[in-house]
Amino acid sequence: MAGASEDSSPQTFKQGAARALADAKLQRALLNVKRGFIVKRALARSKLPEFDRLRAEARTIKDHTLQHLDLYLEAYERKVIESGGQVHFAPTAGHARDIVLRLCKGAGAKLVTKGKSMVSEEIGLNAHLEAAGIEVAETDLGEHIIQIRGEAPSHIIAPVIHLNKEEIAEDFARAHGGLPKERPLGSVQDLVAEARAVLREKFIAADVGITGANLLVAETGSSIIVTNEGNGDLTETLPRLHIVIASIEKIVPTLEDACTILRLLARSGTGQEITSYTTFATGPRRRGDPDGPRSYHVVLLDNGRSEMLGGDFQDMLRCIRCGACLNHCPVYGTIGGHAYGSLYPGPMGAVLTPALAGIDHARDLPNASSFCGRCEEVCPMAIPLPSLMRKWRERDFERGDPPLAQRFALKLWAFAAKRPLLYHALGRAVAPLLARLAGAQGRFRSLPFAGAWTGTRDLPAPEGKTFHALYAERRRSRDR
Amino acid sequence: MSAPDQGRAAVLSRVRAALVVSGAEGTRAAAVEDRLRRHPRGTIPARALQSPEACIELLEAMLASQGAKVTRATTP
Repeated sequence: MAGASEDSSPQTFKQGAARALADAKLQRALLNVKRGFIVKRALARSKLPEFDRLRAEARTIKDHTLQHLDLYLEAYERKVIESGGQVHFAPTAGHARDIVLRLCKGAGAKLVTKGKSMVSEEIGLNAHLEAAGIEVAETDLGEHIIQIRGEAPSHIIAPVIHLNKEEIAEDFARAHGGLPKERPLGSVQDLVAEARAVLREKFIAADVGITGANLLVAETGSSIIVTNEGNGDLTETLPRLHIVIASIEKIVPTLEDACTILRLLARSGTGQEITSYTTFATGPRRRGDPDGPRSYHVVLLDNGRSEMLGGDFQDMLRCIRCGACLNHCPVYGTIGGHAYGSLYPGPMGAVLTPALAGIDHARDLPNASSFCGRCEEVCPMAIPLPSLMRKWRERDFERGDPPLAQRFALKLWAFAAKRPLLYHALGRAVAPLLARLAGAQGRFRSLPFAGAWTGTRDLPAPEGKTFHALYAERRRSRDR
Repeated sequence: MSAPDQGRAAVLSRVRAALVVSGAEGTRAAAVEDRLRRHPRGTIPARALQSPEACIELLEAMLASQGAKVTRATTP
């Protein structure tokens, strides 16, 4: 999997997190997540009294679909064929890349435009097409910026959340050739206008348009994408060939079901009631249609999803990639997306990446959580993300992968935690001891086995009494 | 079997193996057919359950919030 390579090995993740913490520009940029998405989502949620009911409905829709996924895939395929399109099943990323390349070559493609597609990132599609001599132009503004920087997205719905407009202006000045050197690039409007002009040329010249899909509708054979820039519409309708690439769990039974999920998607992600564009594509151009592609192909990607079905991680297949869990995660909010070393960062990535790439390639990700539970609270599909991360931790522990010292410490803790009398006795003995050792300062600058904490900050010492002792004292004094 | 057919068979057989089904179960097929045929309605938005006049007022307010100037025509 392209997005979860050896970059997410434990050491690299820790190094990435350390780099992110020391990056002042990134830290300023991450405030936008807190100021923007969280506040807007809360406002949108407060204006939707039926949010919880929709959430329960959406969960039921997806659970039903996943239980009958084989049949819905066949029903969807029949409808796509009826509408004049073709469906290709790709068991792996390699199969999907080869199918898309074959279709592009068959269309004599020199230039491909792309709408935002996490699945195409997951399979490393751009590099594959470019290696075959096909130019690929990302048309989502954020993805366009990422492409000219040669970076990976740092957020699943806001790929350049880690950048400021000055950095983007520098990138545009460098990458957009044939334009006056002294042109204005100081404002967001300048940047958008320039990107629009550059991309318009690509839209008109493209031979093939590739988009992802937020949802696939079995009832009609339609694919649905949501955008705020309209680039998806131009990518789908202008070239002579439209390829949709989507993972198999994107299917929903009916248009009504799609609408239920769409009402949750934008509100949870960006805090919008609905995105500026919600585009439905059903087959190629029909006789009498004023525009649209002459051929329409859908590539359905498995790439590990079927292994999640019927198992511990099936709930994750409900994910609609809204990004709410990232936006509300204190870990993501502190280190951003790149530190995860995975295309899918944050809590959803901490569950999905080990499932798709293997726990060996993503061992630290399920551990990059404080288990505060906000991700589960805000997830519009009610995915129990902390429980799923815990399951990965358990599997990792059972495989014997954590270092010996860590395993020993955890076993010791588990031994005590399962014996309340021993646990309380130890607490009563250790808390005053630590308080005495810390002295008047009440904190430790360094402590054996706690270097990961004390390396960057002091560790507050217990005040001398355990929580249970204080609670009992307060009850006694209240009863008197 | 052609390559496209192999891909199709591979994905569907993996899905069926994971769900521990064969794909030929009548009850499952009936459940899917029923859902597609019945097309069950989702939740109607609370704001759409108001009186028609209140709905029009809401629409006017939303349009105005986007900078539109709204005038009601009293006759066709």
